Amino acid sequence: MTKKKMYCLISVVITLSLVLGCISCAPKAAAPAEKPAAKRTVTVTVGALLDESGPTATSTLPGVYGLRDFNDYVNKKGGLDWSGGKVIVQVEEYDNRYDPSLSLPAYEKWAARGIPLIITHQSTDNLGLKDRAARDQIVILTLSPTSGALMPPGWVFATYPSYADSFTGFLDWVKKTWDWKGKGTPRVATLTWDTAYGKAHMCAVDYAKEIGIDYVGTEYTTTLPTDITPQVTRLKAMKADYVFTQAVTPIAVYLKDFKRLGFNGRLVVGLNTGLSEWIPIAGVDTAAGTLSVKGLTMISAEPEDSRYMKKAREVTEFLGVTRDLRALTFYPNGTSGIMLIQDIIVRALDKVGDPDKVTGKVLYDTLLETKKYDTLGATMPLSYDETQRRGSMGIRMYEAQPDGNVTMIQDWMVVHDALKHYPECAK
Amino acid sequence: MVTGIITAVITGALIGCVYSLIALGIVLIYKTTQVFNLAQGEMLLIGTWLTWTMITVANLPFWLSLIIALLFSILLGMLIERFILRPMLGQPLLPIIMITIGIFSLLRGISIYFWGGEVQSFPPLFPIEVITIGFIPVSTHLLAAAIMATLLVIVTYAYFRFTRGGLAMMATAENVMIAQSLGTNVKAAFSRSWAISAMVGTLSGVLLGSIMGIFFGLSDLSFKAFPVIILGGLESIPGVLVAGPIMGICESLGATFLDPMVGGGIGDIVPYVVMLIVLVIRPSGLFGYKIIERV
Repeated sequence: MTKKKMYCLISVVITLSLVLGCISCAPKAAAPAEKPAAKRTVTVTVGALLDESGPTATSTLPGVYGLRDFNDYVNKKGGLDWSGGKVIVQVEEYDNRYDPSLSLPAYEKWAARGIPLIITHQSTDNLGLKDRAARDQIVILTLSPTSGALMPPGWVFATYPSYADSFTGFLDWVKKTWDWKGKGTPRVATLTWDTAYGKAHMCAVDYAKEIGIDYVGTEYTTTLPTDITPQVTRLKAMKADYVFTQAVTPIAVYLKDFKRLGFNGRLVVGLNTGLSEWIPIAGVDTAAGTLSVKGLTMISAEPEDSRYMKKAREVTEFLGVTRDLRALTFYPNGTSGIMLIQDIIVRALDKVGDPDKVTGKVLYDTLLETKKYDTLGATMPLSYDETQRRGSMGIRMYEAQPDGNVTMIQDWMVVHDALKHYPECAK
Repeated sequence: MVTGIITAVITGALIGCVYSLIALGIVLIYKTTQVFNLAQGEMLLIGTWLTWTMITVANLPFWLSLIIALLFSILLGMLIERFILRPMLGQPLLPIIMITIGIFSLLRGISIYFWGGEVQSFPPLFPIEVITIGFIPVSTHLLAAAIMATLLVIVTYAYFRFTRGGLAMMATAENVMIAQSLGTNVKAAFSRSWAISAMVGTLSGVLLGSIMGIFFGLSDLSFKAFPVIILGGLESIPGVLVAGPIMGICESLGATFLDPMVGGGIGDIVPYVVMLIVLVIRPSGLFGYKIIERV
């Protein structure tokens, strides 16, 4: 190569190096400013397995009405606010008629679609789906706090204490209010359905002995007894002062036969049993003195100016539905459940930013972060953590009065945790 | 102990009388049409709900509400017979029974759709006081219900036995073709049986509703009538009158003696066990017809 050509080549290389160097060092042009994401309305769908026409529909349906009303109210107002806009919570209901064989196919369809949360109301579903829900990472929010589903803690959550917890709460109330000096040791018995649900509190009967109360015996009836003479005869022989029941539909028969046979023990109805609706059927005099343990507020006894009643009236008036709210004992069951669901969905969306990313795991984590969520007084404020799936551990006690009204006789009191103390309860 | 047993027997017998009335509705239809109506419970419920609606929504007096509900029940029974069962005349028995199951589901859906699942109270038909017969406390309500049920069964028996309409229905049950050839209006007989059965269902539902409250589960009490029917005989009206109290007593004594042994819930099973025994030993029941077929 001649010297002239070599100098030319060197010049070109140096020039190119300089040019390339300048290009790489040149400040990058600022990226065009990002436009803020447009506010949008998204939908998150949850499932609901409910007995709407089966044997427990009497207790399920009022809760369903509460769930629907409070959800429709929000949706018709455009949905809930989240950081990205609005969210509509859509509840797909499935009537399983209390038949677990109908629940399973519905569950599988929802799981296949990636539904992140399912509402349930039956112990059979809670127990049957607990392991599947953990496997599929689907949150189950139950309106029926089945002990074995809530402990050990898994993917099943409840908004109030279990049946066993409510029984211990009742026993604590007896201990607190009983005239020990005048009447000696109180005697408690059970009269209940001969089913898993009916016996759900039985695992905690040992607590009676622990606090000095005599547990004197258990009597069973079928779900629709027309007469309980033999059972009441035996309860009389036991001299029971209180008779606890988990039964839901035969309360009028129980009360009438108590009176007919001259049995003075007080019937105590459990979490899922109404009271107000049985008073006219049993008769005001017959029902007077009947007690009720509730993990939710009893709407028939709720003051009209309470936060809860004001909201319930506002909702039903807005929707134009005519409901005798006072007769729907389990209405707060549905409202507290859907309010919690709405809250965790909003918080989950704020975290993940996209409804497709609101998975069961995200909702599960959001639930565990929930502390003191206010259900307008329908329950004690709800809190969950790694060891606790029952949002509230509080109960209230109510009593049927001689004038036919139901009044609260014990405000929220925290119950003895039966599921943690009695391993039988967790089965 | 003795007092308890006697109380259980008497109360069981009284409740059994109400079971007899429920069973009567099924026997009536079977007696005339040879159809075992599995929808009787739902027909009972619809009539009861109607009575309740007339009283609470239309604010009518009880007696008027009941009459309107009975008229509607008659219409319901006739419509079911005319448009659902009559086209199945001559068909095998199994599809006909399946159809009654379909009617059961349809009526249950209707009752829940219109009246929901909540419990509603029914105005007490009788005083709620307790009277003492000797040393046995008896609910006035239950006693009156049992007396009413018994009277209704007797009246129905008398209708079948002593009236032209009733005899026509019995003749139709014996042999449709012969009855028809002798001038019996077979279709009217079928229609009448369903109408009377629906009426009887409404009356038994009203009696039960006044004791237990009204809710859709009330229709499940019709299953308690099955042992009564089998024991008494599928075609026998006097049979249900006798079998009802017997089954009520069995239920009550089962609860008294067997429940403490096994932990409870046995009382309601006892009538079904008795039913099984009867089916094995005497399938026609106490008063049913023994059918001998010559080959």
